Amino acid sequence: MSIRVENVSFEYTSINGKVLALDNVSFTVPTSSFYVITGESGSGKSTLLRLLNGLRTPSEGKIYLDGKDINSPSFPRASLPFRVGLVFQYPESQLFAETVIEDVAFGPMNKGIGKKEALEASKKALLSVGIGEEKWNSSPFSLSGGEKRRVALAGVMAMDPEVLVLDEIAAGLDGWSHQEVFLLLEKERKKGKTIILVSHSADDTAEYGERVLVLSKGKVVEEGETRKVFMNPRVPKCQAERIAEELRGRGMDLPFPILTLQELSQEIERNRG
Amino acid sequence: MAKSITLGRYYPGESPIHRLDPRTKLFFLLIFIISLFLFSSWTGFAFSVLALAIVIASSRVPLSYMVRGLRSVVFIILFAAVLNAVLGKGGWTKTLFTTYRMIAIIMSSNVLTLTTRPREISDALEKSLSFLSVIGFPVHEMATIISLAFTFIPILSEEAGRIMDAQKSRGARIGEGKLKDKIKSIMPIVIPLFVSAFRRADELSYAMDSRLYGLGERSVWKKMRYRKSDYLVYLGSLLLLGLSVVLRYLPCP
Repeated sequence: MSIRVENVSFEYTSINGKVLALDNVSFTVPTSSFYVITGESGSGKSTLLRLLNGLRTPSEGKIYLDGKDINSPSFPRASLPFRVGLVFQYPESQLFAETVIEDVAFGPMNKGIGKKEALEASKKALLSVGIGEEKWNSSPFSLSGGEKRRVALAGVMAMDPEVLVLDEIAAGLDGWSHQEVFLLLEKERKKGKTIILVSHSADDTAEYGERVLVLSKGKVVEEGETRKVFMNPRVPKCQAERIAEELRGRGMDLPFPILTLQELSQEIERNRG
Repeated sequence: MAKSITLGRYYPGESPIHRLDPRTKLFFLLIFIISLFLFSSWTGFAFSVLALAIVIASSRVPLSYMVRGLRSVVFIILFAAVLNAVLGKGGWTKTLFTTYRMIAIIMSSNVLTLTTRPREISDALEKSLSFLSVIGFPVHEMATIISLAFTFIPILSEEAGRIMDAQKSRGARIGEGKLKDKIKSIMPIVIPLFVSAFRRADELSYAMDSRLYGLGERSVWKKMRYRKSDYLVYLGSLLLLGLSVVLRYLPCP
């Protein structure tokens, strides 16, 4: 499923008056692509995500899901969370049920697909995030931090949305869990799901993003194919590019920009060879 | 919901009310609330409304902001007003007075919390009640607890908003259907909110311990000092009290 955001602005009133959280933002997320939204804290990323699954309505502009305006009265708004699944930052803080399986089934049950199907979907989702059967009947609060995060992720995946929107899914995860989460997302994308990820990490953005949107103070700084985005000097460099910069300074001939460590090692090989 | 809670939120500003000593504001609030329960005539009512209007105007906090704080309690007020009108003996005048009293208590307390930082309120409480420590009452601890509670109101209300968004994203329909469904539908919000509140409290107590809270006598961050305007407000408060007593107990035309 593709998403098109057209000239969207979002304004809200705070204690200090009106705040323009998003200012004329436009971009397109192609079907089953891995799209990354990045930018400093307070740049409007989280607001943008809430607009994509209908939690908020833009003050101006339009959002199209497969060509249909999600804020038009004829659009089936109630079904939107089930089509665009939003995983919040620190989603483990949304867990509430007595058992893991009940918590994961909350979304599918709300979808109204029947208990049996809901349980099936939940089990499938739990297995895909690597939570084994022995934990399904324990309390979600007894799990470790990384496990809680994965259960919360399963809770959204069990609704089988066509688009998965994730806010800082890897924040605070250890190295292993971090890698596992990205492998999982890559797998979901190969199954045809569209992935939209909000990330602070220049490394994750460079490694996994096919297209990138960079926001600053609610405005688009850069948008497009990942390599092109990293050419913009206003976009923070990833680790591999910083090493490459150092090596270029020492006289090595490397292309710009370098996005991953793998790419960097290949280029170094080529230089030597 | 989260945005309608203004109690405990500080509204930064430089108004005369902002600059008053917090002890003065506390004293005025106390006197004002006492005077609310003393008046029984239209003259007293007029004076009370006038006093409240002066306070609100000179706080320079937008009225809309003040009224927003009432929104969350509007049902309680309406309920009490209807009950008063139906069961009370005083007629419409009394109902109006009672309703005004409730609104005025909330509005005047709102002025205090909007113009005074939680820290200042607790410092003022501590200072004003310090005589109680003679009989062994833990004044300083109570003041700290109150100030922490104030600080946590906006944090928890924001957290509630976030959790609500998260559960809505999982298709939760909050506050819909029959009463039984409504109660059931708030569980996915209440439970995570409690969990996070306890976690925060836990972390905070460890953080305070690790920064040696309670080890000995604490130094005072900001010395409170009365200025001319404070004495004027004290005088005004006493006048308000005197006026209320006079209007109440002396025959009035």
